[in-house]
Amino acid sequence: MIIVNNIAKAYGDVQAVRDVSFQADDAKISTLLGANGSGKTTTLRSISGLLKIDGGGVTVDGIAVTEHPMQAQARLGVFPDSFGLYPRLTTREHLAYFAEFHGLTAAPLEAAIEDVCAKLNMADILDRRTEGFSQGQRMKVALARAILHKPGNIVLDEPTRGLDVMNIRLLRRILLDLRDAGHCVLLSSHVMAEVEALSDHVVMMADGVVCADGTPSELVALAKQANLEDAFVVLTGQQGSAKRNVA
Amino acid sequence: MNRMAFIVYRKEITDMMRDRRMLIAAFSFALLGPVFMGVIFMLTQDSEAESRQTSLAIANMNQAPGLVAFLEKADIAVVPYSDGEAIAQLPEGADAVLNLPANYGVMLEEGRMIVGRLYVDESSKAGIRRGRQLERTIDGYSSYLASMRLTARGVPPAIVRPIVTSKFDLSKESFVAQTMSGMFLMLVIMAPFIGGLAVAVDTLAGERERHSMQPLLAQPVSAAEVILGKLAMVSTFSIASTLLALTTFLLAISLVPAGTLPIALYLNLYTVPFIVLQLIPFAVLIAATQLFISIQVKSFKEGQSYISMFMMVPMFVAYVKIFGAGKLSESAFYLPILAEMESLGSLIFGGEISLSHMVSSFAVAVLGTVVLTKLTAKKLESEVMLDAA
Repeated sequence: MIIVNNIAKAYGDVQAVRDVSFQADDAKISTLLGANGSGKTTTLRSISGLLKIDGGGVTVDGIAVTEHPMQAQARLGVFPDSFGLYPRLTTREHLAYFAEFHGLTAAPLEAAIEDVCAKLNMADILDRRTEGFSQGQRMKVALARAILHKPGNIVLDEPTRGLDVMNIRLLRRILLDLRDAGHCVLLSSHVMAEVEALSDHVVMMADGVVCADGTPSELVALAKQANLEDAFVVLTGQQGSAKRNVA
Repeated sequence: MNRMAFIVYRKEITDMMRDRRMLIAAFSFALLGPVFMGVIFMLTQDSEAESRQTSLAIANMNQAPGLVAFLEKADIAVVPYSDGEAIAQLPEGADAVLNLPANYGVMLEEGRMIVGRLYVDESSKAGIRRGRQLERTIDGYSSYLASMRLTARGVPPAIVRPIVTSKFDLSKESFVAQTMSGMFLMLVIMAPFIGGLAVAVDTLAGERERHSMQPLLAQPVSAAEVILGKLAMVSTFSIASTLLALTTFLLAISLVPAGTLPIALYLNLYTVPFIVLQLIPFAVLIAATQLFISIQVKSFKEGQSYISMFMMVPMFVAYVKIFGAGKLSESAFYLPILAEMESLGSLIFGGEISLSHMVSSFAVAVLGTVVLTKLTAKKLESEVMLDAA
């Protein structure tokens, strides 16, 4: 479970996020929904222990990220905004490298690789160097890297960007499986259809603040609109009043 | 090394060993260095062959036994010249030809002025030097004859030659030997700079450019452990390149015919371990410095530019040592790189340990590595590392 409590972060004069609070529960898919520059990536990076926040706090399974970043990171699987692969390493080597940081070695490591390989249907690329991989293949490696060590919490920054329909469907299935297995899944997106299809809980963000927070149907009802897209436009349009809409 | 740092190290080595360009960049110097040394050796051959006797061919030599004896005493090889009057070029093996008149003996006896023509070849430095040496020696013989004649007539020679000088060379080694040994040391010192260059840029600036820094920093591994693993990898390349360069240079030197090299090398079971021990911490320091530079930049290209500029440092310092050592104070030789060169020079060319320089360079290497690695790790914790250029 991830709890974000009143976090604030500025880059120089630019206030990226302020007073952001929400909770992402286990066995649920929570989505940060917002336009480009709304503060989604800054929020996810703060959760991943990659940023030093200016105020507030984040806990992962009760562990404060600021005070104990490595303990919190041990409970996280992170799918960053860039895949960040090593072109000269094979998929297997990528997975082994990152899994070893989480203490997996020898037979358990090999078993975990085989398991994730079957889940993501990536046997054909397992022993190939990642140089020249398609966007879908890169996504699979990055996702496998994030979930191989079976973390309780998985954080994904716009995981579907650049993917074709088949890969989006595959990703969606994996995320639903993770949720069903009890993991806390937190992702960011600005694609309404994807959010609607996946999310149990949506956190709407605009200009670095949370505008609304609830299930997709609750948010639609709150905005008195026909769908989530219209609800998003209405609810994020009110952020200038600095008022949080609670569903 | 701790477990996390070792995981990083192992991955980095695998990654870098797969890039042919990295390997060429790291080890080409060690393989091409001896060729470079060979070229320097050949270029200096002309002037360094000082040990060979100067040779003079004399026309009508049989007329001048006294001159011949004087020349031979001055360590000049004298051979008769009988190729005729017209001298267009020097005969094989002779540095000059002295053409004495056919009636030299008679003219000498009668006390007449003798004009001897000295033919030299001043197209090379050695030709100029040997020609001057011969001219001076023949002048010396002329002065000797004059003083004999004055003495025979009861006139002290000091009246016509009040000052006589004798030159004594106090230098430990010739300029050529100094230059050769300095160049050799420069090449050895440069090896770690070249060995670690490409991999140091790739492992930090390259990683940042590839956006792989972010997933790495999201793992439960500290910045210090990441940097330690990367330092170990760059150091491995630096040390391997340095030791390979040293080996190939020494192999190349061993192929040079004995006695033709103007420098003596002391490479034995006593000196070699110290040479290696001296070079390893130095290579690690250079690796730490290259990583420190690499983490300041956002892209591989930018990193290459700055680290290439850093390459100028050992070259500059080495040239200062070769050409301006006399103008430096004693304390200057305890500075990084200079202390290294002094210590290595004592071991390789003197066969002895210069303890003060060795301790100084070791202390600088250890201290420098610790400080630079800490600064690099601190920088890695910075948020700017998450995004590329």
